[in-house]
Amino acid sequence: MALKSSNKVSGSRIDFLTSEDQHQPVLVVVFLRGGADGLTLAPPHGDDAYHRARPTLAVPESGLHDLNGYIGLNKSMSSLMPLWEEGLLALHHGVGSNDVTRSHFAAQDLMEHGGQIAGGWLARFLRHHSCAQGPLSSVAIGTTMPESLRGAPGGAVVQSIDEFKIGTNDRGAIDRLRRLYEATPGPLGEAGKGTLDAISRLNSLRSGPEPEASETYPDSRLGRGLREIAKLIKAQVGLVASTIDAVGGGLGWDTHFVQSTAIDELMKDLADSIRAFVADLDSYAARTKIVVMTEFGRRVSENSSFGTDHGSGSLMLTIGQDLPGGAGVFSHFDDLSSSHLLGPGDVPVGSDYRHVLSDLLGTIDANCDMERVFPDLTGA
Amino acid sequence: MSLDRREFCSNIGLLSLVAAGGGCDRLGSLMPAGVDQRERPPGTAPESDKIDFTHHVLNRCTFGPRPGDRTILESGIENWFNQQLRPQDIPDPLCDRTIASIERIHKHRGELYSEDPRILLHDLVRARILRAIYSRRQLLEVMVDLWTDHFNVSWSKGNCRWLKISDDLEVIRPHALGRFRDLVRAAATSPAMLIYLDGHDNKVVQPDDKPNENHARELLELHTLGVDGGYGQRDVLEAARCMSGWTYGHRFMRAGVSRVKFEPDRHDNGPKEVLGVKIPAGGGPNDLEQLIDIVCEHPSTSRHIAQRMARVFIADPAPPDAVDAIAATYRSSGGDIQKMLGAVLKQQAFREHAGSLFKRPFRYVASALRATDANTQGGAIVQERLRRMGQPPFEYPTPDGYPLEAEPWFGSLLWRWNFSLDLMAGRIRGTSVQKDELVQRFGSHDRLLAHFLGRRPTSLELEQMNGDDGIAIGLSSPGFQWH
Repeated sequence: MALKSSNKVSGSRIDFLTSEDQHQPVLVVVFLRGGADGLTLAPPHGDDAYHRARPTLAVPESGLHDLNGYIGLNKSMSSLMPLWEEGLLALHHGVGSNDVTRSHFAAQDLMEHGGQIAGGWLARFLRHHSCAQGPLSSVAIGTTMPESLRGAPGGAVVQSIDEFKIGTNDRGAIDRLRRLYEATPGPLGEAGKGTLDAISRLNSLRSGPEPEASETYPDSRLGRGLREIAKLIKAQVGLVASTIDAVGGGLGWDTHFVQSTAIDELMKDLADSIRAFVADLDSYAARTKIVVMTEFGRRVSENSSFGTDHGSGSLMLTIGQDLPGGAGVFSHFDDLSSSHLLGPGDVPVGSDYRHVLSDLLGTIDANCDMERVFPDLTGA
Repeated sequence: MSLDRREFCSNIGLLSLVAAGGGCDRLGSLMPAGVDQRERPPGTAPESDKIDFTHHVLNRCTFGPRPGDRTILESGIENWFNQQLRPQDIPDPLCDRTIASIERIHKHRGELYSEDPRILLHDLVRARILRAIYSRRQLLEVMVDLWTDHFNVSWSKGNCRWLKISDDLEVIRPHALGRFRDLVRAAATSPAMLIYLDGHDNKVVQPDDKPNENHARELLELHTLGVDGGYGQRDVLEAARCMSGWTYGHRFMRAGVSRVKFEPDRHDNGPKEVLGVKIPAGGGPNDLEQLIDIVCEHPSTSRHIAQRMARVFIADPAPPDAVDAIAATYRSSGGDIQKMLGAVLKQQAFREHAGSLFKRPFRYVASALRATDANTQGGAIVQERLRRMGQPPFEYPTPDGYPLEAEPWFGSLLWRWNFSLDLMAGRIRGTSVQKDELVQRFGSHDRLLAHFLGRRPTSLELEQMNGDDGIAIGLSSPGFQWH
């Protein structure tokens, strides 16, 4: 891959800073904590079984955009329709892990580790990435390190990129470090100068005016977080992967009770934030891939309190140019009649979520050995 | 309740969780009891323009020189080194007292399941940091670091969250300076390792059952012969048959119930052949002993282990002559780790490669705190710094352990600089340096810098490392990144 060789400097893997027209491909992971109901985000409106199982919660035709005659997109996420029309959106329905616990903690852990193994799938990807990893290669937006980054080659959990600075940004200290590292031959000197350059790019970004596009983000945790990620991507400081949770208030995506009151807001926030993010990225969107995932889906039948309970298969969204396998709807169930359901009536897991991830990671670093990222994953 | 608990609480958001166990309200002393009583001797600084042998030995056989360490070595480097080879004879009451106060890490594993595993990890890492900084048994700590990577068990897989403590306590630490065979034997039946490498599930019940090869493969590839050690897939399978039936009791909740055992019904008791050595049928649990004898006596193992020791103590890549000599010592001594270390120090290559190894983050942090004789709790804030740098102890995901080469670590400079700048400005809660006293102990700022660098600073360094943050710049400088 041309990009890989252009990232190299005299045979070393030290240069994690890239030139303006060759910024590294970036993966952004949006994790819907709580087990999002894929059947509400992307309702299988062409399925009678869906309507039978959800007498009150089924999304009516007026509440969705039809995508392929069977699956639709919830109108709360209308702001994703332009992406759909441009061929930048793929919906993977009926995907998930082999979790059987239906416990949030166990299922998130399994999914973020990428199997019954140690460390996170993103961490292993970064460890085996064919380019050197810099100080800003992986950034989690939030307050705690997600398990997907457990064991990563560095990386930080921040709420704002203002946290990336040298000491208190004291000019004197920065100048003196620069003089010392500039006088240092070899890869250490290169790495020192690269780090100083990255921070100085972030500093000039901070002192400049906010770009117009950033006004269109929703004023939510997810919107603010994605805006920080966009800044990092545009500053070209070597970001390879970033994660952010979409948790919402209250129970978030864990909609056991009167589901519609909570989930409409969440879906709108999710879609509006992603739309603003893609617009904000502008030309940088060409090398950015987004994946939206959740630990499990929810039971097909609604419960007696107008909510849904923990299930299995759910929905993943992938967004970006030249998606592996193309844009479109990829449904891994034929229909939701009860004989096709899993366990207590869950959406079946027709495809392992790791296939979606590993295909996507292949577009971020074609030379990464996926068997080291997902050692337990078999088949295609 | 110490500050550490407090910083821990506020830092990783476990406030409610810990509050149930007593709260985080009182501000204790900055130091854990024990090491707060340590002596604060005057420092002597190196005076040559190149790193001298004394400083070099301290760089490699400890986590970096503390003020006063050079004086200790003046009574004879060989004498000091021989003492370090026998940690059990080195009195270390202050650090022992501190470590004893971290109660959870001394509990029997049966009692640990009622604890929150995040707190167990915090305590275990804290002990690791405090020992690296304050223990007088420094060579032991360096070897614990080496074997922890060699026999890597990530905390984050399943029940390793609870079992990692016993792996550290029962496998790595007791054998770190013992015989290699004992270490391999202990690791092969460590509960944490049995979980981590799926050995607990390696069984042959029906005649055509295929054993789980994961543990056996890593035994050959990583723990003993090395990937190019001359074994084949057939040997992996035969080794897995030898190891079948060893499992870890899955009844966890009651104290003392869970233990490693050999289950004859799950063992393949047929004849086997590993690396050309025949093992007759009917060996039962003794198959494992035979397997370990075969792999530990294999010449590839002597080279593989010598290679790692040379990369950690001498240079990376390892000088071939040194590897040959250390491997020969392995073979002549039956894998005696002390004798191999003795051989390391005798190598000409050892003398020639002073200051050539890039400090990994754990060593960087430990050496900065030692060089400045800092007070630290080793708590969550320091641990979070290590995580940013990419080397939080016990969290490396794959069985090969944290990388030894320099390259993967160059990306951590930002966090190293911030660690030193924040340390010297008092911005790392629970950790502090008495700056004025430190300079006084060396007699001058320039001599303190020489203590950091192991040599007299150059004129460029002197120029950049003066002023208020001069010490922090010294610790952030290229010169302090190597050892």
